[in-house]
Amino acid sequence: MTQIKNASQGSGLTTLPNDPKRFGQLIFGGIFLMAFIGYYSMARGMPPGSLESPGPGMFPTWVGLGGIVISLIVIVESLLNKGESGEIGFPKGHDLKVALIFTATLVGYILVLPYLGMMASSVLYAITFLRFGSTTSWPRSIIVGGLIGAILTLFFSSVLGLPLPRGVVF
Amino acid sequence: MGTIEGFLYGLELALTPEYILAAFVGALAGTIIGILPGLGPVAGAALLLPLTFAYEPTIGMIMIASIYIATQFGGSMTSVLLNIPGDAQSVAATFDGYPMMQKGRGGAALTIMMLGAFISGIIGLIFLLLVVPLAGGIAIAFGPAEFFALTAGGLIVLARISGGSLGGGLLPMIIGVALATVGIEDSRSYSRYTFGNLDLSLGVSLAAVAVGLYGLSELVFMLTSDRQKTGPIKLRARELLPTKREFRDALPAWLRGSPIGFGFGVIPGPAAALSTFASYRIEQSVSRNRKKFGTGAVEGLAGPEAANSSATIGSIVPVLMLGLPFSATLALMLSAMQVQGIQPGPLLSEQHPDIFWAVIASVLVANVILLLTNLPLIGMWIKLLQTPTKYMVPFIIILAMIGAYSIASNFIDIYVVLAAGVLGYFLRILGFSPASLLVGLVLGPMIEKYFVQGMVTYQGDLAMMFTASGISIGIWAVVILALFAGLAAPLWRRLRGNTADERIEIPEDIKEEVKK
Repeated sequence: MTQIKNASQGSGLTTLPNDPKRFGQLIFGGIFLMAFIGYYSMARGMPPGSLESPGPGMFPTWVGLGGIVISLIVIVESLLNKGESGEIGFPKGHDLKVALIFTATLVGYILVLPYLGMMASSVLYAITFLRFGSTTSWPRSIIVGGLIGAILTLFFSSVLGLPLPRGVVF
Repeated sequence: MGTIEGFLYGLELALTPEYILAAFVGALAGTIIGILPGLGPVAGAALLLPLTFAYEPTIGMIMIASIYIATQFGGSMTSVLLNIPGDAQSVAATFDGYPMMQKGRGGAALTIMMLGAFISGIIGLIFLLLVVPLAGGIAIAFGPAEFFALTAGGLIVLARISGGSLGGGLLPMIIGVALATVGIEDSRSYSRYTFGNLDLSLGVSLAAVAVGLYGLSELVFMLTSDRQKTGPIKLRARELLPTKREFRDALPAWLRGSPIGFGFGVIPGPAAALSTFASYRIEQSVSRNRKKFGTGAVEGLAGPEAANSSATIGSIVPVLMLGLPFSATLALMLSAMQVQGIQPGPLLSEQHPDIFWAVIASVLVANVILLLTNLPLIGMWIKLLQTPTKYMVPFIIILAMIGAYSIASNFIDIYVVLAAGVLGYFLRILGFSPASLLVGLVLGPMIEKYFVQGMVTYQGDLAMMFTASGISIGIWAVVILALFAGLAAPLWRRLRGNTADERIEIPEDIKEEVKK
């Protein structure tokens, strides 16, 4: 990977499969090319109006076309090695484990939020993250996590009067 | 109402207890989010903005302006104390601020920064008062074609400057503009890209996207990097006082940095960041201590920080007078104004003189509050900086969820936070700029509005949208230059046969920070 270069240096020595950032940009460009083709197709189904009186479909049609062209530019740049280049700093080992726990607890939090309400789900989330996302013991996780979740929720709902979702318990 | 008269009227309003309290809360909250590890100014401001909606417009606006000024300042504190810039404009503060910290002059560096921010804030405010009548006059001469050029062209220039390659800069921008078309279209109440989901009718919330894009993705980076391992920071009270020589070196740098910053601030683009680098370069060339630069030169910190503070104030001009934001935080500020039912623009000072002048005067009040509170609270800020990541993460996530839900009391905004977090993570690891996505999301509806207005006005003549006046032709010429100058640069270098690079040496991790 020593041949990986910066965008501005442009010697074209690195092949695409050996350059994670370029490869990632190629995939990213491809995904958004598909997305913008879908976006454009939907825009074509909206009333376009006329140039004198544009309808709701006209602007999205232009944006869709622009998106397709720009996605193609990203793809071409990654193929021709004109864009960013180098390693991707994906987490590995312990960092990967922490990132996965972070994601899993966050998704869990969001999923239970409509059912348990803000207070209970926040407390549950803070305890779970502290226990599994760090080396905090169960008793400490319960005390600290419980306090973080409860105090924040109570402050915003009771002191500032923000309407927060209520669940089956709270 | 004349400028001086208006400012005095605003000052009278801003000095009422409830408005001082609003400025104080905003300044305090802004400093906290500016220095909080894992919560940059954009994500922090996005978290706090929904909370300002609960108050009357003037209080909300004063809080927003104070948050904006204080976050920029808070970001620079981490540059000096930890060598971690809070945002792009704080990068220059690491060059000499952190070496000062290593030499045991960290306290003096912070005082120089705070005094500089105050002095340049005042100078910036004077410039602001001078510019307001001019900007108003220019803005009134603008028609749909000129506003279209300014919004669409400005966005393209911003995207081009923020991103590395042509496609890399423009892709996040067009994603932002596309997201802005989701929801009910204004003129004919036509539902676009809602897939039959009523919750999407209101569109994609900017604050939710900002929290996800910056906040969530930053937390993942924070959890998986060495940033969480912050060593102990020791600052003694007597170290806070600069020496006579340090003060003497700082004073001219403050005075040079302030106009530079303001000048950059009013220009569309990543003004504050550019102004700090420009100021650093100027200080490097005019200073008596140029050999000390990079090793703890006072001018290397004082100049860029004064420019940063002044640019922050200068960048409020295009938002208030034209309704055009050219940074992620300003985009949030504009969005908050619109939620409050205020449409910034040339008529703002006529239609809402109380809000307009109170906000401008509150900039002065916020600067005074920052100066008075930050030095005595320095110990608390340092403690906050050292909060273990494991406690910060649930705190920030719960705050994000409360903030996102309170935007419209709707779960859709929480799902948007999650989706934007995933998108933000991949954008950042692949080297794209999330800022242009956010600005695209705010400017998208304006671009469409001016496009439609222009087409109706010019009876469908598309060419007129680009050539209606010298202003629009000039703006589009700048856009073309910005788009394709990058392609011409290698050719120009080859023709000159000059590969020598005299740029300031910036470490790789700092370059990443600038890109954010």
